[in-house]
Amino acid sequence: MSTGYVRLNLTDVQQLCMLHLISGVDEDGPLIAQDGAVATAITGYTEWITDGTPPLTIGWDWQMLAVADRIHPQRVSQPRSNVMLVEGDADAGPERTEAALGEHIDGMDWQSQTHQHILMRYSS
Amino acid sequence: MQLVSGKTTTLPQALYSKTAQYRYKVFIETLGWQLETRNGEELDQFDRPDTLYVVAQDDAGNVNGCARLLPTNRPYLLGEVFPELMNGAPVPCSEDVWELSRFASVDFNASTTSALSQFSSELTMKILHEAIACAAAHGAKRLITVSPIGIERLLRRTGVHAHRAGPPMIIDGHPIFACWIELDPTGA
Repeated sequence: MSTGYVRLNLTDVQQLCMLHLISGVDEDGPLIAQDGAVATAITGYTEWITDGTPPLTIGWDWQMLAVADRIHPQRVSQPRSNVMLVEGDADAGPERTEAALGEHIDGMDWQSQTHQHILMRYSS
Repeated sequence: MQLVSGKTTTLPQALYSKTAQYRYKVFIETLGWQLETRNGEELDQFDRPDTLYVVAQDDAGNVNGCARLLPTNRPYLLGEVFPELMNGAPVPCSEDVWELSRFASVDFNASTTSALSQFSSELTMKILHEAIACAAAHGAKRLITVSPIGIERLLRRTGVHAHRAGPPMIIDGHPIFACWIELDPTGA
């Protein structure tokens, strides 16, 4: 039976061209602590795909942080995907796959599209 | 808290009915899903005599969590309604692959839990692990689930090995996806 993974070597991962699918803000509502304090962090998710066959899907969590007088989403989770990194003839495992994908994501400018999408989605 | 598991035919009728009412409160009233309902109960064609359930109750007997399990060699939600979420791969059809659906752990009677959240952490973990154990006891080696993508975070936090079967689809503005849950911790 298919495992559901799309297997890629490290070079393939490093050359992934990702397209933005959707981003959103976490909508669970404010977390109110017992002493009445309210958590004010703005967090959310972003989803990206490739247009190849089969399509790859990668998503991760972000948190809005102020960087140099600008609000900027920063990745705060490991990537979640249908990718399995292959090293030699063997699966490298989820942790090494996440690390390789994370490195690739951190080299992308995903923040601009995510931020823009969030602004448009929640502006009306 | 008490966890009860069993098939439609073995769960007490009153508990089955309370679970259907709890699902109505979670999925219809709270999450606003467009689902089949009748008389304040949320039940569909996959709630059959052979369907397996895990139900959580608080000390007062109120239902505060549930999960539904279906073998994929009989009709199930992903196979019948969302096969495109499999990314072109055939939908599972095997007695050792089960589907987890209608998973919720909203405790409407807990004062410290946001009613807007589909999940509360400790309760969630207990129901999830009971559902996995229950499915495994009935022969499951893997689970597949169709869920909002938020469940993927939850699965990660609870230490469950889960990964996507394909890209999310956007339905009513919200991404849903199919997700594999590996019951064997060494499974790829």
